[in-house]
Amino acid sequence: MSENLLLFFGRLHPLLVHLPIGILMLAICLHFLARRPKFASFGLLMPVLWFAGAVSAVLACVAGFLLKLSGGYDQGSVDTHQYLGIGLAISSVLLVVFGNKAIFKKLQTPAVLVVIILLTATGHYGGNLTHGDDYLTQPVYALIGKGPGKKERPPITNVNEALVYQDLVEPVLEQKCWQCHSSKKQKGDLRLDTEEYLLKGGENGEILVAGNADKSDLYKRLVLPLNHDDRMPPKGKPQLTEAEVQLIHWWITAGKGDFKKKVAQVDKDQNIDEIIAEVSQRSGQNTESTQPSEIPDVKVAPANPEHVRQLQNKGVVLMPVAKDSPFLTANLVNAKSFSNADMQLLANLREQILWLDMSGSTISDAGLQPLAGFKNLTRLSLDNTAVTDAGLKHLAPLTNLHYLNLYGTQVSDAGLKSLTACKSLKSLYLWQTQVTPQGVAALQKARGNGLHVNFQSTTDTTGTL
Amino acid sequence: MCYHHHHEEVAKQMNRREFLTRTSLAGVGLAALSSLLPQQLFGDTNPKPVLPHFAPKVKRVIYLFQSGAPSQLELFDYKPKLKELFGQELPASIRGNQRLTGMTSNQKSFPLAMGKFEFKRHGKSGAELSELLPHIGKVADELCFIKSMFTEAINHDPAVTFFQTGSQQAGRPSMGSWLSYGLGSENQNLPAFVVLLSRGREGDQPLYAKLWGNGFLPSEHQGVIFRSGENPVFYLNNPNGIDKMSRRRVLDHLAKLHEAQYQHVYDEEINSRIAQYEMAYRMQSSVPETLDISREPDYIYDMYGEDSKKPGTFAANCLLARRLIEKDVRFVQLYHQGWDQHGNLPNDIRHMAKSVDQPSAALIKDLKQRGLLEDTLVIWGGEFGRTNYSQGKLTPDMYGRDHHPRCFTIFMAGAGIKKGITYGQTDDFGYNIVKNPVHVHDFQATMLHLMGIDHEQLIFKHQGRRYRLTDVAGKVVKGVLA
Repeated sequence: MSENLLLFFGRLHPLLVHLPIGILMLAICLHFLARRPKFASFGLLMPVLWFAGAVSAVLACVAGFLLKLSGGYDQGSVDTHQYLGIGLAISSVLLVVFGNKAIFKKLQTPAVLVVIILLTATGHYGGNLTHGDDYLTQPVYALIGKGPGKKERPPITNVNEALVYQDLVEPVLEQKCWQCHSSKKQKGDLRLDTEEYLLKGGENGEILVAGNADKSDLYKRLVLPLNHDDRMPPKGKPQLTEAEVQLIHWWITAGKGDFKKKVAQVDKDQNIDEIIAEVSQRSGQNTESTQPSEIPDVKVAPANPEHVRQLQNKGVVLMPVAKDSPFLTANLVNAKSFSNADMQLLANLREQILWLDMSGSTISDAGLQPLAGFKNLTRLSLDNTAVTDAGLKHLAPLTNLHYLNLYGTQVSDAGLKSLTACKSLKSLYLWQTQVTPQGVAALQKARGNGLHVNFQSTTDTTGTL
Repeated sequence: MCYHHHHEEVAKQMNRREFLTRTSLAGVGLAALSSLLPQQLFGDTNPKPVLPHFAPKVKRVIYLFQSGAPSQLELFDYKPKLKELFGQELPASIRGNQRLTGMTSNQKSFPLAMGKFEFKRHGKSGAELSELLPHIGKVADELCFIKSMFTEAINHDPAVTFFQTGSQQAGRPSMGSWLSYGLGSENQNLPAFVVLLSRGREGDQPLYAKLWGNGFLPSEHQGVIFRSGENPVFYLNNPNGIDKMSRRRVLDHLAKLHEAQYQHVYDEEINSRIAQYEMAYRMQSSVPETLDISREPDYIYDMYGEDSKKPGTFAANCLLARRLIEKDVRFVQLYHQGWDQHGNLPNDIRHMAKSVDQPSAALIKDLKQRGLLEDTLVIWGGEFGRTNYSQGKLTPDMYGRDHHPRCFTIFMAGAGIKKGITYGQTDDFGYNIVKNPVHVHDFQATMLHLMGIDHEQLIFKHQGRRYRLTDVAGKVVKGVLA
């Protein structure tokens, strides 16, 4: 009963604090105004104002102390606020008691200055307690174009290429740990914002045992019971999610706490893909990520509408790869009469065309010559055309091509040799061609594992893929 | 109401942008004008969407819809616990507050059921599959199984409608219609959205045209059924005595009449009508050519199985689906009926599985060897799952299963999807999801995402409300994205 009554009074603290702030501010203003002869009459008010200010400050202190007892605040910050508040109450009481004594007249103005400082500081730290200590500073930093500690992170486009520490672990630390362990604050003498500090550890020694999360404080403290004194983040602070905790375990154990490794270079255990997906999603960097990286990172002018119209008249379907992108996909499915000569029209858009589907068209070797200039082309379908080995020579300069479909053509082993130059090629389709297993093996050998060749005998209906 | 009055009414309601387009203002550069004025001033409720929102992984979709709801427990989601507890009562703690259909809600007992089907792991991915799906097992490394699908509906019609349109109630556009509206067709001689129907056994749940309907979208976006047999599209061929030239002249004149009517009332549906007539005219030659499977070589028929030579079977439709995809049709929707096995399940499911196993696997292999699996998505699944307890009498060899919306399995293959993974997990009873639940709207959002569409941005305003395929829900399932 009485406990709840005290708590109730404690919770009035955020209300009560505004009384001393308002009254003391008014007293301070009038104190300086009253020095002018014109406003001298205000002087009569001063004792009342200082008295009311002091009483409300004491009340606010008492309520604040009761509120503190109920817990839930960061100990360090609340202490600072508390001592400043008590200081303020004492100095305003002193002003009331001694303010009118003639011998202290000279000390009055310095005492008012002390009250100003204490009032500002107490209010500021109190605000930080409820709103967080970057509440005021963050927009200011943003205004001048600097986010304090907030790192600009490019979105993860390919999870396997992402850096385990920098792209996955660090955002978690930034979000959940840096508030107390970075350049801003160093609780326990520990910083977690750079590789050096992570390796250095804190007042209890090192926190990272490479290859063994269960011996690393960085992990161990995350899984202590919530009420345990050593639990991190402490009770009342935003906690790591299950997936984030598991990610850190995986980074320390399988990833050996390495700061440079990519996801692909670390052994994956059963669930890690899901965990990575969840973590990268949560940290908000992956929102647009799944956007294929296929759009090249080069500036290209939008296609000339006249060139587009000419091709459309020939029946070529041109579509933007994505909204607001200058890159195009071109499909000849409706362009029955598209001839080798028309390739010049297509070549007008050589920079813009990213995907080109010419399957089943009447194009032949000679028509492929202009393709050499399609520097940004990533996908090319030439299946079921009259293309032969001679035509493939023109594809060698395509440095971005990663999908090439040649099924149902007369291409043979000789033609494959010209494709060894296509270093970017990842998928090659050679079903129903003149190519032999030896030819494919030679190409695979020259190109290594990065190339997936889809080549199988047509009669194999039972085999696996 | 006299005609004149009616005309005024229509004119008042007509879309201002269309009005401007059709009047002299168009001559002085509407494009320039519209870039100066905010869109709202024109009152354009449904500006043509600029799509895709981002680069797509998938350009086309084949949806092998298993109508009637195949049992996940006999096919995909192996639960040895059900064998162990055979005949015992479904614990109340597992059932929770799950509502039941009228077919089993009066049952006194809910005995856990499991037949003698063997499960085996397949491929490098180790996907666990029933002996009923040996061919699908061989392509398991290409597949992504989602074992944690769930839906809100408990009966067939609302559940299928929910899957196809995002709403249990009829009247919304089908997902194929949304894609046709959003992305259009690359092949101008074939519809963007084609529907193929097949039946594994007689007397199963019916299907309705609303499932592939355009709802409130312009009507050229409705799914077009390609039937088996001589006359694949109704009323497509010229009647006896009408030749091609004559048909062309009729259409030209009709188009003029339509155009005149459009000038009068500015109803966009008139343009849809013109577009449909023209599409039908082009289909007179493109459809016979596309559907002519007589030149398919024998090894292809061998791949898809003996049924593939019989028009109207699931196997023949899978082969047709591949041919349509080769022609760049955007969305091919197959429905295979016959999975609603409330009784006699062990026998019926064997029969149904046989009708889909080889052709489904063949389709994936066939797309793969043609290089099409790199920009085509194949989806396989029904509208909900089936209960882990028996409907009706349970014997070691015979039982049935009722509808179960809380968990079921679908699989996907193709572009943008992780290969050889299983996503999500159900409990040992196969009754509840314990990990990574995927709602129907999540599935739809993911499909749109793969096609380069932000599901929250593909919107159509109708009768004062903005609609999406995913209604007001749906989250892209990032865990299945490659």
